[in-house]
Amino acid sequence: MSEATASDVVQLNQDRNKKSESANQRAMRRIWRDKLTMTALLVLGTLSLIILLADPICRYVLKVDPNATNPYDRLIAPFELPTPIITTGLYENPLVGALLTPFQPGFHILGTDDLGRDYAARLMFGGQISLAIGFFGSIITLIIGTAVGLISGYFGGVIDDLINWVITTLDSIPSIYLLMLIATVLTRSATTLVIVIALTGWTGDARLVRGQTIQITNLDYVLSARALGAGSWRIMWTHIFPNTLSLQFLVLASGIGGLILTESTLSFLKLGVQPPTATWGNMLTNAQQFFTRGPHMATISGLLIFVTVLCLFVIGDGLRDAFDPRTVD
Amino acid sequence: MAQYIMRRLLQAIPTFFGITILSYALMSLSGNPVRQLTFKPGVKPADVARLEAQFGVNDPLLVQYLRWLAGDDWMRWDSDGDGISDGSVLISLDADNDGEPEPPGAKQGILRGDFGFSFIKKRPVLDLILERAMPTLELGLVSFVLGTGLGVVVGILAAVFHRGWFDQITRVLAVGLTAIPVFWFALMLLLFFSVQLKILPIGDRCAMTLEASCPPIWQRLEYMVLPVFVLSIGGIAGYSRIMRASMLDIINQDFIRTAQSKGLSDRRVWYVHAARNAMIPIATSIGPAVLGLLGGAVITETIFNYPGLGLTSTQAAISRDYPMVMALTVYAAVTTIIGYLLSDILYAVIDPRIRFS
Repeated sequence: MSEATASDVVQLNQDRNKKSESANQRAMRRIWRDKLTMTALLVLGTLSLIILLADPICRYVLKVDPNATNPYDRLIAPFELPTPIITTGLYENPLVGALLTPFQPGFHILGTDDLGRDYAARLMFGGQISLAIGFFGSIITLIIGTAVGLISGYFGGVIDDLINWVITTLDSIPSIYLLMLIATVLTRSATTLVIVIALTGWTGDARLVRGQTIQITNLDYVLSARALGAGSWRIMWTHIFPNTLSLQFLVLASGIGGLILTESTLSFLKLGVQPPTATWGNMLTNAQQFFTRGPHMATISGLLIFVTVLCLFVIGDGLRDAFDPRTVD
Repeated sequence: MAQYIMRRLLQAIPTFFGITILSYALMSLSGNPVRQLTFKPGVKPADVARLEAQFGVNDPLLVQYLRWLAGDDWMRWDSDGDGISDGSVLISLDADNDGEPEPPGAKQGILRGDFGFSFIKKRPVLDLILERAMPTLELGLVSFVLGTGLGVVVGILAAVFHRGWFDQITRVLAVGLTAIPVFWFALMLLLFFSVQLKILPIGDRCAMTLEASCPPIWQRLEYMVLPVFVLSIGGIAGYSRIMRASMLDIINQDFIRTAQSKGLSDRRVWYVHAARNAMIPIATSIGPAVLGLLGGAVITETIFNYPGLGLTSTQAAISRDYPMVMALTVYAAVTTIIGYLLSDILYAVIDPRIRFS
């Protein structure tokens, strides 16, 4: 048996260090290296920041009010210069004048809509609503889905059958019909929309959590917890629930993306958030009438929905790959 | 096999009742329909009370649900044919206590196809739905065939040229197409092809003529191009991914290696042996596909102003035409249930490895 040399020991230590990397650290390293996911995170971060700062930006930089209508400034194209354009004072120098164009009174960087409202301002405030509905909607969906899934998977039997019946029933109605049915009955606002989306969208999460719960409930450590006298709720809350969390965290990003799509569709169909409150969806409602005179009304907000949802889907995919133990580096 | 189909059919029954309970419960939140319909000047409170008694809006919710489901001609009837009711169950003969019995029940209930009258159009809901069903069926079938067909072909090719440029491009496209808001995509197509290039009509099912009906489908293909394309992109994106994964899974199995070692050409192994077996999972996705087509039809028909059930649903929902919305929800749900049923049965038929237990 040969003696271990110093270099062998170093090698061993390195191997040990390599192994000691936790699953989370490995996942973070993978995300950091994944250029597509990082780009999506960057784009989404920038967009969210602009949207969050909508109020100060509109008030101090653009100096516009998102709900102020102006019959003389209808359907101005993006970057169109105001008339009459000011060419005196500071604006006399062509270079300085060009640089100061955004601060000219009556200049709308992304144009105006059919009522003469500043389009950029409405996009930012509409984004707040759209993102908020997506975010809070999926959080509530997640809470309901987790609770139902845990109870259904843990108790089984009649409770499970009953819950399965509800889930099958809800899943048999195309969600847009269900949402339309509810939108017909209730007053249409952002808050109702969040509640409605959450009340109809939890079935997927519930199925997911239920499956996991059934798997975990049969593991030995749950049996030992029960043998030690832990009650059902304690087992569910402290022993099973934390183990279902990671999976849900991974579907959160794609969930938010899906909800933003749903919200925009409903609002576009006049069944979601009602004007004058802007969302990216209801800003497209009237776009069809102004195809020839104001095509920017149809393009920009849809493009923003697309980019946002695409980023969220890419991030969701990236997270899933990064945390998947089967992925090989 | 027959037993399996029978059991699947029986399983669909509680789901159907679940849907009727859910839609009725939701609709009952909207309040008293008689008050809403008679909310105009000149309507006497006594008349409102009489109508309320006749339609039974003050009955217990369960009775009202039963009336909607199974009708009320068996709840209050006229056995001697003199036009005056002389017997009743569940509800009272003289609901408003004015000394005279209410007229006999005339409702058949949705189980017998009576969905009531549309609030807005003042016509039987079933007639309105049947009028609009044909265009939607036409659009849905064409999109389904196109979506499945193209999706399967793209998926097979992506798997055959695994990691090649075709695979990469279709992969990016598939992710992009799931993230794109369908209604915006439709708007952009309209803006480009109908407004800018002016080569396709801007909507509707056929050119407006004095006749109420449209010419046969091959004479108005230009009206179908955009709606069908928009409605089938979901299918193309979804099926191509399923098909690709399934092909890549199959290609490593023993029977493929056997086929190759027998000396069969690559082409035959890929397109006959592998593709045929890889298509089995497609059968299971017919249910979700029907779900997607029904939902997609709402958006597509609304944007292209295509006179089908989808457009009818949005119009009914916006104008709060409750009987119409309820009927359409039940229709959509029943269609979905049938889709899932077909998909399960088809799966069992194609794949003999499925056990019926």
